[in-house]
Amino acid sequence: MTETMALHPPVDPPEVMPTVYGPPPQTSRGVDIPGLVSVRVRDLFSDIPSAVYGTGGDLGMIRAAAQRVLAGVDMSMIKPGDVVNVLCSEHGFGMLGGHAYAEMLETIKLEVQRRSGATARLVVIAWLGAKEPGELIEYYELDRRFDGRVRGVTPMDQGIAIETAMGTLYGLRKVYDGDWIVHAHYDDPREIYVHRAIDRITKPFGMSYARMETRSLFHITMGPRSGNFIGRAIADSAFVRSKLAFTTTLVTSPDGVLAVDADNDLDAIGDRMTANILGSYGKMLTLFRAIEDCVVVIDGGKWPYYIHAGGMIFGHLYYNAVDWFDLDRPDADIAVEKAVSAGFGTSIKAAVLNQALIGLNFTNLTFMCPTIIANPQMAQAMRHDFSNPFFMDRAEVADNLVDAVNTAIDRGGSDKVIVFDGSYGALNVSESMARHLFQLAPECARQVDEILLPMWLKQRGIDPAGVRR
Amino acid sequence: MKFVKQVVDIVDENCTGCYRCERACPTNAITMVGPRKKALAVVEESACIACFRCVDSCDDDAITIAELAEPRKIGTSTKTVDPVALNKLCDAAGLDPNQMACLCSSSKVKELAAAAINGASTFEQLALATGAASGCLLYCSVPMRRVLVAHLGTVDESGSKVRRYDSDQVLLDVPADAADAYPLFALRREHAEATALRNQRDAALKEIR
Repeated sequence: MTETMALHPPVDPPEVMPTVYGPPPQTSRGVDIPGLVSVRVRDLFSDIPSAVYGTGGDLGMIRAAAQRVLAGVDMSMIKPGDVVNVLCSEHGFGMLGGHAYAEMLETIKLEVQRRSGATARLVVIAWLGAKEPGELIEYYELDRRFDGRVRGVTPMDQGIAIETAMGTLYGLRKVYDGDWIVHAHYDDPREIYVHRAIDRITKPFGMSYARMETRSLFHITMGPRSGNFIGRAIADSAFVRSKLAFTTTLVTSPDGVLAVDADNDLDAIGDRMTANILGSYGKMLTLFRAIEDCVVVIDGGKWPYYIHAGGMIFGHLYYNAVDWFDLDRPDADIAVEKAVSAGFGTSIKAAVLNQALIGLNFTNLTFMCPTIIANPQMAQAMRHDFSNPFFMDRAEVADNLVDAVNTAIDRGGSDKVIVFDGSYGALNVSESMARHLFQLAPECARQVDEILLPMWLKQRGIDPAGVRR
Repeated sequence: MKFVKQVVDIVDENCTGCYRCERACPTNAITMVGPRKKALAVVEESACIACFRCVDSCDDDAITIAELAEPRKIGTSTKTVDPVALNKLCDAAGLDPNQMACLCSSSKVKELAAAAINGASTFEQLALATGAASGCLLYCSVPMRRVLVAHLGTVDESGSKVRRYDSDQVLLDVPADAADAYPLFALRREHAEATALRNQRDAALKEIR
């Protein structure tokens, strides 16, 4: 179902966490671009599940939801005096400003300690650099929340061998050195062009919780679908199964957080997660695939691919040429990076970079469309971006955000502006983009309802009755 | 291949001799000089590939970034080696020569292979010859290891200060029983595609010979 076109004032995005891995938080944000409106995702598709928590909402809802669901989890294996490593990934903090994830983590600690008498210790796993875990710990007050029992880990830290069905792989020692682990996850679909919604629940075992070499396997030596076996192989190893006490996740839709889920059975919670990803995000993904032309503004506190607009990451628009959920579609290549490259869309006519982290390669953006950096601080950060050494050879630098957007509109030949600023629930867009989205939405809804969602579910053996509405 | 536009500089008065930068450097461009408890970091500028891992690892503001007057190109042309030997090495490594090995330096597998044939025999030398390992590190470690092992039989890591682990599986290493146990991952299908691709490369190699 699609409602009539309703335009609202722009929504405030989450604030940007200060970091050494990007420019200082900019005072001029995408939301300040003159003439923007916001479009609510549930005005586009009224059957997107409605959130109980959105950015800046009542965190008590998260705590209550986590307590409720954890009450049904068996913790009898955890004995007084045991040490329980609660595993969290930086990416969970990239959703809705990160506070919902932090609240879920703290609630896990409280429930584990209350019910078992064990000590819960938070393991904050970040990817990019040595200082990143510390920044997250400070910003989200994780030290206080966990009574000082917090440790940061990166993929360059000491490894631990894990024997799996595909041979020896390496996890991170500090992830697994407790008596038990709690897999504290989230269901943001994120890079669907890689994981294909086939085993999202185990992905962190091959990425966040793994040494860099194991992450390299995922990106380089496996195929477009088989790469996801790495996480599953580790998760199913005797070692991990001997450690895993239970799993929790934030359950989301593009509208925000719907619930918290928890289970001792990794596969059961994984199946529920897959069903929710397909059901809750399928229409917005299909809508992004239908966008004809646009100018994007990247303006958030994560790497460009992972910054949200209406709960959808920029990567979803960037790789919008194909239906990544369709498991019967032949992949373009057996090499995963070539298969993913086949998904580059053509709808982005120009890009503005106002605020983002450095360190993740996205130089190809500058080859695909005019790219304008909106402020000198962002430009200076890009000059020192070790992962994008050629970026500044092709990008232009504007004096300010408004000039950058005007240049992008001029060069790109489109006035349909969409801002990726971390927002959930609504997209900050130009009026022309708002009209475009409302025009496209009914046909996208029809396609998903009648053809795509039944197909996606069938391909994964999921009962349609399990899809959240 | 990479154009190095900056180098790092040590601020001696801030250096506390913690050794963390030395252990982060992928090319051994940083060495600690002096008695163990009073050592200071020293940078060999020509070996710096501007990855800034040392800057990241330093908690003491003892490493700064300086712009080079002229960018320094690092890389190895595949034209410098025999094409048959190049393709043979990539094949032995189980990798497609044209596959990207390091997105950050735009180095393909064949560039790593050419550098190995030209004498790069350690991770550090391979990084210095190609620019690989100068960026995100998410991609390059396994192809670097596979090329070195395929060329030399083993990698001498005795001079390395960076911590590394030896997992380097490829798709074809996944056993058939695992492939059958997990059908959702299309391991059988992708096995077949990878095998067909390898056979194509073998046939092309025979033609070149």
